[in-house]
Amino acid sequence: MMRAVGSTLSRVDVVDKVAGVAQYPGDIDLPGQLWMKVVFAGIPHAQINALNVDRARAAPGVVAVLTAADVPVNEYGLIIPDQPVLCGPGSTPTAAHVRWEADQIALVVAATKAQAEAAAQLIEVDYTPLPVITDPLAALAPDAPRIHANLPDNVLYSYRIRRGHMESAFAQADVIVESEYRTHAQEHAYLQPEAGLAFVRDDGRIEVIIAGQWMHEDRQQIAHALGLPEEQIVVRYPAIGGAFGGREDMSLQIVLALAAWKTGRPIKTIWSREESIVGHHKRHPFIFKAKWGATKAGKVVAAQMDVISDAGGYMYTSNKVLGNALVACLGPYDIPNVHVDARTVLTNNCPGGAFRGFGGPQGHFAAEMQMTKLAAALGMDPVELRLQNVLRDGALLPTQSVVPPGCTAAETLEEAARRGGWMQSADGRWQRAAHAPSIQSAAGPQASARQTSLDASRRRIATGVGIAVCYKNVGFSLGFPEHCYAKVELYGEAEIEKAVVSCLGADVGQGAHTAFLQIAADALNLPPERIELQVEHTDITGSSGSASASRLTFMAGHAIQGAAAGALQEWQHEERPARCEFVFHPRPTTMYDPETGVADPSVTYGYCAQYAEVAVDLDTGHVEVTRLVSVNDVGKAINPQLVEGQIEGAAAQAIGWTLLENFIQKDGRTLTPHLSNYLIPGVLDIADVIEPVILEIPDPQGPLGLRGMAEMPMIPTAPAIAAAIHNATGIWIDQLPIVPERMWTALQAQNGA
Amino acid sequence: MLTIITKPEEVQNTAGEIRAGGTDLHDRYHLGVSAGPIVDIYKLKSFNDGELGAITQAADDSTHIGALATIDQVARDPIVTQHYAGLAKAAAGLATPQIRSAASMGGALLQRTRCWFFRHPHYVCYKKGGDGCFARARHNPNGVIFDAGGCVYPHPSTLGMALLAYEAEVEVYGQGRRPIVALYGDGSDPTRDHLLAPNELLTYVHLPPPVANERTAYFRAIGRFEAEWPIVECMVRLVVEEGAITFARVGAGGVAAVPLRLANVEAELVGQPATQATIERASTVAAAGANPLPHTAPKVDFLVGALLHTLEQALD
Repeated sequence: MMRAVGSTLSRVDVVDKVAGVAQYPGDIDLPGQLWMKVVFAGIPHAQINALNVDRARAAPGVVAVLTAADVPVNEYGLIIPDQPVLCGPGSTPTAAHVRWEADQIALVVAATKAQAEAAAQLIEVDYTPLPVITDPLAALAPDAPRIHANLPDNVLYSYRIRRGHMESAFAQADVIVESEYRTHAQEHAYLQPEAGLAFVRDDGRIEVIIAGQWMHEDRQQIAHALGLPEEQIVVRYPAIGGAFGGREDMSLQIVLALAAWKTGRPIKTIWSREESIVGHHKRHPFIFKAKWGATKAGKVVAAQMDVISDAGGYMYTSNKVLGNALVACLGPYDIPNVHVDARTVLTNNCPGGAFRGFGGPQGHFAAEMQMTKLAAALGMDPVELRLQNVLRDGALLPTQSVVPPGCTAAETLEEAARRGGWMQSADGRWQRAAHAPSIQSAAGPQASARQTSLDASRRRIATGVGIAVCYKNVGFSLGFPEHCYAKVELYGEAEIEKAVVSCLGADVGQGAHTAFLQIAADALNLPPERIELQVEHTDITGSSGSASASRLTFMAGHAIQGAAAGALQEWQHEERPARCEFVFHPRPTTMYDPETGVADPSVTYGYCAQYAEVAVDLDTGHVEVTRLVSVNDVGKAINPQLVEGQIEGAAAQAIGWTLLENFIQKDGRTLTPHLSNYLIPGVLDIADVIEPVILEIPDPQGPLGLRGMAEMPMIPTAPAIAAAIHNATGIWIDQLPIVPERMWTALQAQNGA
Repeated sequence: MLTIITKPEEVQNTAGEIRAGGTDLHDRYHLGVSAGPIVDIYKLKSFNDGELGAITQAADDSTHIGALATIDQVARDPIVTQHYAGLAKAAAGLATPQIRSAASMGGALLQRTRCWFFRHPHYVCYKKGGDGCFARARHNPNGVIFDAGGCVYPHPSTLGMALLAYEAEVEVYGQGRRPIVALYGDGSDPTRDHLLAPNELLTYVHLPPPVANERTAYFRAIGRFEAEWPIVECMVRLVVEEGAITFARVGAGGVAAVPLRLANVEAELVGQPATQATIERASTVAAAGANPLPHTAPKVDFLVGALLHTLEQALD
């Protein structure tokens, strides 16, 4: 029988999705349902003195108006419960404090959407506005207003790394590069805005139908806020229209359940695109102050980083993202002397939270820019410098633990370099082939491209190339209890006629369920069509953890293999049906030491390197990526077509973040809540050529040798593009996004100089 | 409240904001920027045997575009593509296929500003009864480079700009025709996007007879490949006879509170040889009088570059 793993088996949901039959939460209707309008504060920082909902309650069609006083335990949060479910008086003292424009203050439940929206306009709120802090640096000032009363310095979380001796290391360095880098927020822009339903079942339990990333975590948080046992809640995920981390923190789960519970009626809501963009978290903006030193021989001897991220008004996953950025900002390099201070700071901006890469894109932008600049300062080839410093098996991470075995940063970088025109010379050193545009000639613009006459192109274009490499943790890190459930049931008599495989990892669009099926098919030695997946709701089996951290196929793969092996054993013992539930626990990780950062932070890592070619329009500042080679070591491609889809999707998302997407807030208010002014790339804005390259070097810890890979191709794109821009123009762009105005201004400054 | 009218005269007795294709008004309504009531005029499409939704050519070769003709119609209509090719190119280049299929010619001319602050329910600016422009002080990289002192957001109508270059007239029900420039004025009133009163109904756009042998070009400088409001846009009509430019009409958008016709550029072109030197010199004239905002300085260069590019296309 043909192996399922490694084949491009069609996705299990492909026909339904292509035919428009797949049901997303917004497509579902329940008999007797009511519509719920979630009312945002609309003010970024204020105290709510009073909330008068009498007129709204009396409005036509209104069944209920719920406020903070109606929430049994008015707090929630994925990491810490620091956010009120509903802001306003009548519950905890801190709940009357609005810290973000999209803090939810009331739920209007009515017979129709129009009635709910009309009634929402009748709510009267007595606010005392408070000073608005939008700059994380200003938030650190001693006299800055507090966002949370228990955090007097507005520092939500901090980490540090101390390794080696910085003073002597910098004294040893022949070149030192110092820069400040700024990265910006990014909107997830998933296809389906937030939508969901909730109802009280015949058995008295509350069922929530929603698109999320982790059913059991949603269930736990709903139960906590409602003051109910978890068993009282059922969470069901139908089709999910993309997530990218944007559904990791909750938006509608609790309030839907609350409204259904309080009214006894089915409740539905769908957010508009604008509500979605205003109402959920974004990729954290970061500021990095970097000072790195290297010797003439090409050894990076010291790296000092000061890191600040903008957490917005609440924790969300800010401490975890900061924890990732803490090591990401040093790149995949073995640097003997390291000093990092990292803080995530409260403001009244939109909260920062999970987004594909989880601090990796931001951290690596700083790290890889530093490496490219060091190479330029040393007159070294950027690939050669990287390979002289890159992490290899046996090397120490900045946290002074040995990098998990199977480190392939060098292999991915070498493959990207080869495809970008680099060669290894007889002495083993890497350099770019002579016929290709030379990195070494990047001191100024490609003058020959400057044309003013009527030629065919009519544009003055400078072209350049750049390269970058990254690593990213797979799985929950820093001591978080990582585990994944799966269950396998085998039916038949003499032979297995059908297998039921249960695993609750969310298929957010990445194709996880198809990968589950393929892994199960091979583990059971059954054709995929004889396997039924059960993946829909929390009653089926235990937690599979989140569809995040590039973990799901890795963890679920182990769990499914374990359950399959157990069920087959039962089958051999003549059990009919044969059943096994298996919980996979990877090796444990540890939290950073608060003084030194010493830790074994992550289960394992995935690796990606990218080579970019760009064309910079010298008249308009428009940057076009003409070719992007993305080399990903995935260990084992369970479904190569799905892996390529992930790589190409990440390229689009990363190019958007680097060049186009510009989330603007002023005074704590979102000015770009529309897809007409928050510009995500269209198909023509993505690189002319994307080359997804899959390496299959097994991870010793991975099931079938596979590695997580969903986030990695998002990470090196920005520094590869920025390096290519420098190669083309001689200009370092240290701040994202590189929109035409920013590039044009830099070109003007260069011309002025 | 929604009122649907079936005859043009009914608009005079009906209070509310007029909705045709609804692509702008519905968006504002949905955002809480417009509270209605709404006067829906879509059924006027059947008025006068469908004239308000049609594009027709008169005996004198002038062309009449009904205000309810869609932008997609304008982009594809054989009369327009053959005789007013620049207008067709401009229509085909704006928005998205879905918007072009729903949005009307009249709505394209009378749409409200796309300013982010105007379209945010919190900010009460000149155009919402306030006494200031928030974009001026806060965030204005999309703003004007010809600053009239009031609203700093550029007028959004690509078709308004194109029709200026075609010296079109617009007809208002019960009032006859007026030059399209009179629809917008000079942009000095920051409270207005156009000068029609609430009960005035734009019914037709009239294009003069086509100019023989004209060459046209339209160029839209945007940050992504399509579906974006222009940073700068230009429309050019030229006639070249025996190597010399004998006729020039030039429009520019994205740079001022109203669509602009660049008469100074036209003057630099007419009577001059159709050479690269001529169009480069004429393009620089476009920036004369520019007084950009702190964040809009790049747009001065963009205007000159975009105009040069458009002129090059027209001469090609």
